[in-house]
Amino acid sequence: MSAVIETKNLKKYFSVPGGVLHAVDDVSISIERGKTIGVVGESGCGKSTLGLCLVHLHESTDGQIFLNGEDVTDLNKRQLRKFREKAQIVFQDPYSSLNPRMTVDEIIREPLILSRRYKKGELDDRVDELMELTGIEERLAQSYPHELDGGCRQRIGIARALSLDPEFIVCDEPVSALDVSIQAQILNLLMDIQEKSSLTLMFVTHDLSVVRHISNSICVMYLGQVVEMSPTEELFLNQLHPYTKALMSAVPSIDIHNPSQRVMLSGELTSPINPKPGCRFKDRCVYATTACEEPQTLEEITPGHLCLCSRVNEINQLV
Amino acid sequence: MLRYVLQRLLMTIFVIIAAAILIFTVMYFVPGDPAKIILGPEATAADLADVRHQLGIDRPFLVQLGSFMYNTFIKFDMGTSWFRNTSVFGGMLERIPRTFLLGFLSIVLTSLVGIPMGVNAATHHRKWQDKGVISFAMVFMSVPEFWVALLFIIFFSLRLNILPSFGIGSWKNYVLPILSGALAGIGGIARYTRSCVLEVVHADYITTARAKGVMERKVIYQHMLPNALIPVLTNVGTSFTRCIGGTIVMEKIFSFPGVGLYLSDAIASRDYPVIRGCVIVIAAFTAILMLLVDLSYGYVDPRIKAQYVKQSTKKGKIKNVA
Repeated sequence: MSAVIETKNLKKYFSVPGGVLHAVDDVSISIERGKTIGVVGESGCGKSTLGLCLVHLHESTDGQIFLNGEDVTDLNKRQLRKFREKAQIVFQDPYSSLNPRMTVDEIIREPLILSRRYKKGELDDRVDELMELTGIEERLAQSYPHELDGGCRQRIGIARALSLDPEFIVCDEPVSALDVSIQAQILNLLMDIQEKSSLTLMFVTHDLSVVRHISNSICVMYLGQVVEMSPTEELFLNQLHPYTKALMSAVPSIDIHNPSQRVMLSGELTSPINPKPGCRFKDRCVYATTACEEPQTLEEITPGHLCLCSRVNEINQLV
Repeated sequence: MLRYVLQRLLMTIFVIIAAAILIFTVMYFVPGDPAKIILGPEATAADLADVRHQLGIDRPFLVQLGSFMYNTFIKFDMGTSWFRNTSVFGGMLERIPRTFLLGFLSIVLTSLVGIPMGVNAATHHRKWQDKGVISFAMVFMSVPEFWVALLFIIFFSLRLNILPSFGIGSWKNYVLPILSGALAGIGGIARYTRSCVLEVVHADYITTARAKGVMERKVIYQHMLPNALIPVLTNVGTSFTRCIGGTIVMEKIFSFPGVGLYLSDAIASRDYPVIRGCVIVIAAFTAILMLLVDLSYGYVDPRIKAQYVKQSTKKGKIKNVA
């Protein structure tokens, strides 16, 4: 299978007072057509930045991005415009990400006009089609975003992202601002659309139950690095990295007879500014030894299951 | 919508009447005897009494107020200037267009220069463009307008001798008053625009627009500005009303025969009919301009317009059902 989107050693550093902030550090991922990758991690671990880099809303510092095998790391204005038709993003906050002065119809229509792909008469049809696909009632076409509820606004965001039939969409915590019943509607909508058009998704979230529901594989990030990557079910059964273990144990269990064993983390989050080489999790890790001072590499432990921990075998008694 | 406009117009009438009563009362109690100013210091008591009787200022306050209100608002007669012996209405009619043109041109200049400056500063936040605009605004907002005007007269009229320093007659007479009046305004509008645009520069929907593939120039002019400029528009509208009433200093310095100079001369000579006429006209202008500014909101901000539209369609539907 060919990867729709692929990154090689992607880096995004920000210059901040006090040094260089490593928001995304050496991330290599690839997503196959029609699949969904879930990116999880705590706040500030760089998962949103990774998503923004992939759709060129941030320019990456180093590394490469490929779309359908083609290098799209550096694009000029015209190439960027073509790229935007293929790679889109759904934003986290459906309240602030829609221009308050544009009607629903105008928001969805704008990318269609910009692409010059549709003739005048076809535009109306395409807008109607998108609204129907995303479940926005037709009577709302001339409404302004502030008149609608959060779920409906996020549908507009999705309709807008889908308008030019992209191949790849980054969903940057698209449901975290919505209440639970609407979260499910939006997730199912995304999955339905994916099924229909074999869309490739990157799903950035910190909600593990959402990831499990929607994604085929999961990528766990910690301080800008991918610490573990694996197919979804495998990861929920069998976590290798100490950080993933702690993260998974934090999911509340509803089974009172068999409560999950919490792995409590102590210590503070290490600063992402000028991080030292070596494992970035070592200060909070119960298994840390001097070996963790060495730079770590992401290795395939079992087929399809990658982990960034030099002591992974000892910790999990795999040998 | 129509009802709202009518309500506001009705309020405007009350504002004008209130302004008339206020200015009449103030002028009644202000010290200074018009009769003495007319006749000069050597007048006899009998002459003074005679003139006072002619002018009607020897009557009781309420009688004077009543006859003033009756003449102004029922007969639409603002009286005759005590000094020029010309009708106040005629004097106003002659001067209003000049002051209006002066104010209008200075607002146009202020907006055309100030708003792009502010936008440029905001889109180049913390770069040299931004710092330049801020310094410009700081300097010209702090320096008094009349001082700038005097410097301009020294430089352009006395040294270079290219622009006239007083009077009216050619377009050249407008240049210096407009320029010296607009500089502070440009600074103010530029600063204000800058802060308004800065608020939306990092808004999420701007990122959305970029993600859609909108070109950067269009992002600024179609997504940022319409959202940022609503408060700027109000500011321009209100500064226009200030221009109509507030050119007194400029008109005095440049001896520009507009409403401002008319008013300030009248105050100096206690020419009550002219003072009242000027104040009433300025109040009416201000009230109507404010109404226009409020109405323009609806067209600038679709959220406000949407309210009106929804209300009227709702009413229409109810009627249809009945």
